[in-house]
Amino acid sequence: MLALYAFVVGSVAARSKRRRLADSARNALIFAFFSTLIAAAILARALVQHNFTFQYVAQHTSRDLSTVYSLTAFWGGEEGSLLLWLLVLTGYAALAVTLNRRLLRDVVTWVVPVMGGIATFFSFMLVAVASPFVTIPRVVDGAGLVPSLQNPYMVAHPPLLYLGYVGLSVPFAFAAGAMLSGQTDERWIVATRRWTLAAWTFLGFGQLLGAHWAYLEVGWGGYYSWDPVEIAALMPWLVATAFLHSVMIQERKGMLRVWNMVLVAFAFNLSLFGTFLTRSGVVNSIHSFAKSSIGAWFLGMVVVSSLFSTALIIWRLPLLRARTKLESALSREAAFLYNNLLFVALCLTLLWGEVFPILTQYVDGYQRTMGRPYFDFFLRIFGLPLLLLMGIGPLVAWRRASGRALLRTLRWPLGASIIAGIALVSIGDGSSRPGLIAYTFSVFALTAIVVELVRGTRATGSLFELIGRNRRRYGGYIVHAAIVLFVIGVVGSSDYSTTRERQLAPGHSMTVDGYTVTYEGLSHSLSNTVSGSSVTTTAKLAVTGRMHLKMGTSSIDSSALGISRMVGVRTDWWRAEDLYAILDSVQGKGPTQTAFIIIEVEPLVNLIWIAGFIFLGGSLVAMWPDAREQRKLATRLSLARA
Amino acid sequence: MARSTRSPARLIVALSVAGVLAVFLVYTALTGTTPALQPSNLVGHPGTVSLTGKVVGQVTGDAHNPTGLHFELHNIQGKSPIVPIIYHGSVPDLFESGRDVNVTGELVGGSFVATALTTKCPSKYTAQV
Repeated sequence: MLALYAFVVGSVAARSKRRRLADSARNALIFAFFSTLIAAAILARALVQHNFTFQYVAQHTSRDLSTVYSLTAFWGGEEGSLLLWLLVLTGYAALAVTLNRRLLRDVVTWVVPVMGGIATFFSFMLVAVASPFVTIPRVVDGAGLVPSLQNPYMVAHPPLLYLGYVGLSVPFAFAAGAMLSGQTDERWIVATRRWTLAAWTFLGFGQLLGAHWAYLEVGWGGYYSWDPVEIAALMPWLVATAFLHSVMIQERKGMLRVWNMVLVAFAFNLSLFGTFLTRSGVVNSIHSFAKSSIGAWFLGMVVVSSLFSTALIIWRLPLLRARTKLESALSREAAFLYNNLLFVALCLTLLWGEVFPILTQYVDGYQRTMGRPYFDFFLRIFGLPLLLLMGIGPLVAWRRASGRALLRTLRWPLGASIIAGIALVSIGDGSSRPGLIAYTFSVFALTAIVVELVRGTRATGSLFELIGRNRRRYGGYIVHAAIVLFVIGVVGSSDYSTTRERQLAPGHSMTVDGYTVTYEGLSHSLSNTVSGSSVTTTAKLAVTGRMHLKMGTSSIDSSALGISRMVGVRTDWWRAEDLYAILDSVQGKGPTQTAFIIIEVEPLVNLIWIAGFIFLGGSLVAMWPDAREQRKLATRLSLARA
Repeated sequence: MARSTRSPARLIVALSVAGVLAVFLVYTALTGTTPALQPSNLVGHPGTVSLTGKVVGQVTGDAHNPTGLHFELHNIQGKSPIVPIIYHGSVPDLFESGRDVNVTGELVGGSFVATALTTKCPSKYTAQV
């Protein structure tokens, strides 16, 4: 009711410019957060206390589940996830409208009903479609949580994704507020920059945690499978990345104003559309939660939200005209534009890959799916030029650059990448052409970042002072460095990995890429819980060669859940390489039992996870409050008001 | 900042979009997609397909032996013909009778010979009470 009040009364107040009524609507939105907090506390208490009179608690926890994992069941189910979504949404809304109530009074007056409208949708879903507070006759024990989900990564991965998805509603609401109020200058972008950056960071880091969980827990040796659920999270992140770049052009040059409105609306609608795709069951996913009752509602919300955003942008086109125009195709502005086009093109091809099966369902009567080759192809087509642009963009001059000056600026990155390319071919890395190109481009981009840092450090005398003086810019460079490391890790572990599978008797060995792995036999352990019994079979392995160590890989046969595997992973940090072992199956009985073992050598895979922390650090630097930036902002705002 | 009367921005945008579309259309026209079917509509689809269904009955054999792993699939929901599956390769986590799985392969002499097998993640939103 509070959200509905904020939506309806906020709209009336904004339209009639009644300040007290607008304050009342804003307060309703803030109190909607506190009332959602109370509901969340009730559900959390029920989960921790195993109150099985709640159907949700019975479906997602069991008595033997630890307190931490009982709490994580909050977002382990659809209904709880929706409550978390509403909690984060109202929390963000309360904070955003409170912090900006004086700075952007006219815009915030319209932000309140927009956020209120979104919160009303989620409140309706919780009350009418998927409530976590449905009661049932008390049961003795609950269904529990799948063992692979009882993992620290799964504690953080889903809420981080929600923080990201929901966070995109703040810049969307401010963009809509700016258009509704007619205040379409750059202030809304400045006010929401950190919100967008935070949402983007959560979404990016959340996806990376999910990938690491899959790598360690799912037992197939990979971390990303281009599943529709994974793509649904990637698409808004790509568009938000484009937006974070293009807002710099709007702030500095007053260009791309329509484009930015389109991007922010597209990112928000993609977060809703992704939820529709993954919950409606219209696409084939390995995630079994891909079929539920909320999908159609989300589709409805996407339609309403898309029509609303499109109508607003068309209505306000006269106010969104660019103050200046692009002067040269060889300039920093143009580099940002190319970057944006590539990000959006990549996102659209992914979206096409998601929607194509649904369309063929209507034409052929059955779905035709785009497989991994389709997604890999477009990732290379758009991703490799993006990598190159990451190196060129920061070094090219604003307004207009000459080819000769650019070549002079790029001489170090160019030289380093050519030397790296020759070196890589000479050591045999030319076996994968896309891999070789990606490595070479990575060296180019990384050298460009180093050149920028060295040049800046020479000017200021200290690297820390340099970063402190322009946190946004150098935080961005740190993020760029993280992306380059990420790419190197992905290329190394996908294009240059080695896999061997063999059935081994005790004492027998297999050699994989410089490692000799000897199977020493099996050990068994039995455990009993309220939910049932499970037998853990562990294959003991001795590794010699590049590393000398003992390791194990297990198979857990649970009476309740079937067979799941625990992979064995040992890391060689000097090479950032993993030796990855999977116990696939066991044959025979007694001491001569043979085991089918899969061994994978994953070069540079750990750079992916290291890159995640650098990405986080860079984002924090870029987000950190900056007195110099605040002064610039004050000047810009006074100019905008004048 | 000077205002330019002839901006290359629109040309860049138009050429980029056209290029993207051209690459995209050529690629999708040249490369094959895989039909995603259920046991009920498998018949009449030669070549490689992706088949999704529920494992029914007993699972026998060994995926690493020449005879392979044998099991049967029917539609996840509703009635359908039962399709015998022969699979060689790595058996995924949580694979057992009653699970929803996806196999990729082709129909050979009445049996579906699979080269890839994935168990649908029995994760969060599946009620198990």
